[in-house]
Amino acid sequence: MKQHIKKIVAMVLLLLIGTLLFQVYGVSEKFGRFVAIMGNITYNLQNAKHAYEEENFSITEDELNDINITKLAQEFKTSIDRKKEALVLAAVAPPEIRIDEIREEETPTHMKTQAVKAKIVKLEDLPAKFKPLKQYLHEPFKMGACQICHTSKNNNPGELIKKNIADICYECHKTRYTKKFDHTPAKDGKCMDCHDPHQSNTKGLLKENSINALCMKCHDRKSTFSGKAKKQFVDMNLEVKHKPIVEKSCLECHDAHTAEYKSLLSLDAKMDLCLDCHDEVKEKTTHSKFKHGGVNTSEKRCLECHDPHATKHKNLLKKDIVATCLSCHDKEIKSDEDGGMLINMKKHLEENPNWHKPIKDAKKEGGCSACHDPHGSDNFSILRKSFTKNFYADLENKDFFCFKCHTEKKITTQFITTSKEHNITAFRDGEVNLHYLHVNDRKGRSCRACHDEHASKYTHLIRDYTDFNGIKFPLRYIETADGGSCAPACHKKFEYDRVNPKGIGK
Amino acid sequence: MKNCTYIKYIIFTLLFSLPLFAEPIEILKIVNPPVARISEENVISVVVEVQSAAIDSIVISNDMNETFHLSVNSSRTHYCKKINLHLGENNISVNAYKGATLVKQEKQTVFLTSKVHKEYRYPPNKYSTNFFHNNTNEKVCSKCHDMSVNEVPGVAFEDISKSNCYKCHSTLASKKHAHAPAVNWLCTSCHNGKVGIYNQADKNKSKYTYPDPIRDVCFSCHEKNKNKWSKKRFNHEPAESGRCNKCHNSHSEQSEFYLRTPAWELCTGCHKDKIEGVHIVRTFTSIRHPTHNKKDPSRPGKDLSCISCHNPHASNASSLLVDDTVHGLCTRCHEK
Repeated sequence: MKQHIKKIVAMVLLLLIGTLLFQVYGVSEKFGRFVAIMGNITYNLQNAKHAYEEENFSITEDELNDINITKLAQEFKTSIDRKKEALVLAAVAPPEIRIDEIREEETPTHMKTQAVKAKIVKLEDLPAKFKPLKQYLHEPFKMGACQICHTSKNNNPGELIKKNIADICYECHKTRYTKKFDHTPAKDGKCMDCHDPHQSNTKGLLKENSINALCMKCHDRKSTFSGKAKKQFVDMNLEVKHKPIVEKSCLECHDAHTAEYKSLLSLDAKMDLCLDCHDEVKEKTTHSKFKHGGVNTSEKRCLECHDPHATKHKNLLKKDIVATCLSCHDKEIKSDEDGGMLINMKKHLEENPNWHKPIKDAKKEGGCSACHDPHGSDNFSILRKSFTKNFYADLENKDFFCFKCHTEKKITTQFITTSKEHNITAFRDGEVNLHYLHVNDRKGRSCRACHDEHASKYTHLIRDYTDFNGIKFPLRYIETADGGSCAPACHKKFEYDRVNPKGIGK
Repeated sequence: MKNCTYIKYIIFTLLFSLPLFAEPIEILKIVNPPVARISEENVISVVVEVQSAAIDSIVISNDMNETFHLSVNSSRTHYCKKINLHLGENNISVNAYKGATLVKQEKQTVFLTSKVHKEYRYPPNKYSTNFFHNNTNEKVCSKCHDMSVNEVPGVAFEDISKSNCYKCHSTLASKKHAHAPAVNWLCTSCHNGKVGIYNQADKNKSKYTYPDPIRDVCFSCHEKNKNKWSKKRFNHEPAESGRCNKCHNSHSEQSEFYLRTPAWELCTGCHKDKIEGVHIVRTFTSIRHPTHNKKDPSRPGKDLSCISCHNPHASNASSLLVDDTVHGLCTRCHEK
């Protein structure tokens, strides 16, 4: 009997250890899974009709239709066209240029022997008017070789050797002005209008104290000068001035005598000349994905918005920052981006009194260009940062532009419990943040579903109509003292109240 | 001469018998519904024409013991009232009273069809489709109602009660889950007067017909679904044939997704074999895997139904399951 007990005890112990091991290593589970898998395999081998192939086993007809053959063909054609153009360009022979014409003007040097030939007038003999007291002297005058230009031999020089002053100048200053556009005085041979033939305190023997002062003598709005120059006036009394003019001179852009481009410029005034210095803008206008028609396809290019000299407005804009934009956007304009029509923004702003702060406080916040980059951007609608065109948008991808100014907490905080947090959002029903409810969902809505980013007739920039798949649905927003209500197409009339919650979201 | 007198007699008798041939002026006449009409909606407008001198009041009643009293005044000849219908054959009776005495009684039958209840889907042969908005009816209505379409295409009404359709059809969009174009009274976006391959017979019968299949109208907004479903391997017949309105009530409905009945009832209306018997999985005990009357763990806040596991439109998995693998399907609810 005792032997039996021992055996039984040993058996029980063995069983216990066995089950423990089973439990620890999950043998039963593994075995169960093995059986299930084998069962599945045998079942599938026998019965499965629709054994799954790989998902992308072949191209479906729809996918074939999606491949835009015409687009590919167009791209191919443009690349060929470009190559052809390059060949044509190479074939055209470079225009004939005479070396003496393009030679830089050199300051003529006067040989002593040449000076000796002309009768040298002694310094003491000179009249008081012509004593060489100024900083820069014309070399013949410095040497007292009056006879290079004047005929008379006594102290009072008097008559010139030639009637036309320009001819005398060109005797020594041999470079003629042969480029496309000439400065009218230079063309007419009125060298003396700007230069003093004897002496000056300004380099280049100018008649005025500085280059700018000389230019402004004729090209000022207030100048008494009558003629063509008066029409091409520049008002340099305005507060915002183009830096090169102030720090250097007009000659930074213009040539005083002659130039290849209109307005005596070395490059095309509309854009190329500006981009020569403004590298950042050059990068944007040429390489950005979306371009502003105002710069890239307009008639006056940069000058469409900017004045190159001086204006009353920041960034040398012709008009106030918003007014500049509205001078074109006062009608529906076809967008270069997708061919759609851009709204008449002027009308939109006039009709809706509540404006987005950057537009309202344009001076402080930057107006339209607070959000849009007028020179071009990689984001649609030339926005400075990414945004969505869609009604729905996932929260994970909501690296939205709006959050640059508006706190992200507005949409990420589910409950607003303390009064400290009240400034996060006023769109709440008691403690429930209704922004969170609208945005954090499988079908999270983007800001623009409810808000108009420009202007609205409602407060908080609530849209009057939301565009859902081409149909305009009114939001029917009503504001109350502690809350409000909406009755859009998305849901029935829901009321919210910050003080006495109506129970939304429960 | 004698012949002449005979002719006179004949002329006289003819003249005096003329009123006998003319249609007698009726005391009470039901303008709508016409004889044996099919209705698709559970509300119908009863329009009656009365001889106001002969009667004081009208009582309209339906099968559900609902009665409506209208008092008659001398200035109006036509009266209308919306009454409720139940599925199948409805008897509508209109009684005209002068004081307390019944002057005349008129009766009419209407058949309310249902797209989901098979027994009511096909009405008996004597019933026929009839469109209310025809020229004669509209002429009558326009005495009191503005019968023109005053909606701006693509822009919803700020105040929906301003829609001319709203005044008569307001009950259509009054249920819990409502379709946006319907509750915003953009009626003509669907009721565009066109017909499809299935309702060619209705062509030019009314300016408010909608095409059957309705697919293209739906896809004009629900464009994403069109692309999504067309790429799927298996399709559900009603969705593929483009008759979205078979399951969905495009105006408003008590069930979610504007389903004509709650999802489980809707599916089992056709798939009757799934009501009883073992579905989903056989277990050792007698307890079956539930298919309804439970909360759905995979869709918080919603009830378990067929659409918890099946996609009612299209899927890449066989049996239109929502997941490609059995493991993926089960673990939607049965987390480890």
